[in-house]
Amino acid sequence: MNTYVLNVMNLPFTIMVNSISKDLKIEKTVKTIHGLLIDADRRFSPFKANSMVSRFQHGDHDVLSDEDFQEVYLKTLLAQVETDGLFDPFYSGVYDPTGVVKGWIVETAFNQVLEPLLRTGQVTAAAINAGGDMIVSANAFQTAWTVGIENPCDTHHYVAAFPLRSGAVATSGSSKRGEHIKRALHDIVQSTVIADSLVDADVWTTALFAASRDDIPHLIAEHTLTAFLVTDSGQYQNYSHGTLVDASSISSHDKEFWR
Amino acid sequence: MDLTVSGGKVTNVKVLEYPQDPTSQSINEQAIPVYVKEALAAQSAQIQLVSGATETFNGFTGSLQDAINQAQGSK
Repeated sequence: MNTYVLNVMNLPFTIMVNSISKDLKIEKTVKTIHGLLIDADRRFSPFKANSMVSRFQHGDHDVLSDEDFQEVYLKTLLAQVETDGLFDPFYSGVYDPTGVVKGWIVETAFNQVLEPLLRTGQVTAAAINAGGDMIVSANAFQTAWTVGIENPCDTHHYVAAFPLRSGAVATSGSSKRGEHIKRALHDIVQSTVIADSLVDADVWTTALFAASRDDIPHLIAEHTLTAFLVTDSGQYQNYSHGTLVDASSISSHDKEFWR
Repeated sequence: MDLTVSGGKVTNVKVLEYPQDPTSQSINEQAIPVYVKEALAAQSAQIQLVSGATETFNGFTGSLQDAINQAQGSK
């Protein structure tokens, strides 16, 4: 396994590529991905005065003619509608697509750079993990990836694990950056969503984290989500394709690590 | 899905039954997270990728993913 770590947007990007091809220049592949991430940061960061997002915030609607901006803009508006406003790109008073941009660019980079290599067999497995939100794929000759979910109350341990051949995983929680999204009062401390698309996984994990407790089962059922939720009372809820499959307390012998 | 944990390591992951809908291979293979009954620490589990609340680059050092990457000789 070739593992690379990049720092873009002050986020750690872990890129893993498995290849049996001697011809493939993995360094070059990673460099291409790095370029796409830097470019997206330059064009979409709300912290950069010349970015399209900053210009749009200041009333410059010319940026809407840019195809990438259109794509991001539509994805954020769609996410707002699909989540009944729980995901809100206008929450801060101005347009901020940050919640979608990371997933969008990681998905774009994966599809443009890694997917063709997977299709031709030059790469047998590939993954990009952007600070805890990831997209992975492994072909038929490769065992599936093994993904762990951090315990939100003790981030040096896992609370759940599962194999994933192809798809995206995103987690929202309050353990790292504090409360940075609007949310209702409830006891969900971490939500993880697994989906085909990283943008979807990102949007839904944000929405579930922001939803009121009573709305969560309904949202998960209506949108057939696969999700793993952790509450601050040491409970977990495990939903598969919209159905609650498992819910229990963290077992007593784990109380020490749970804390 | 059945996850076997022995001595702090994930030793076996097996699928007990697939969802009934056979329309999509990728959906079928889309696994369900399984609660880990035993505390799994960074080095002990055969986990490759870690999902968690968004991590800044500055806070990455010493995280579970960082430990995995280090063990794999990341560049």
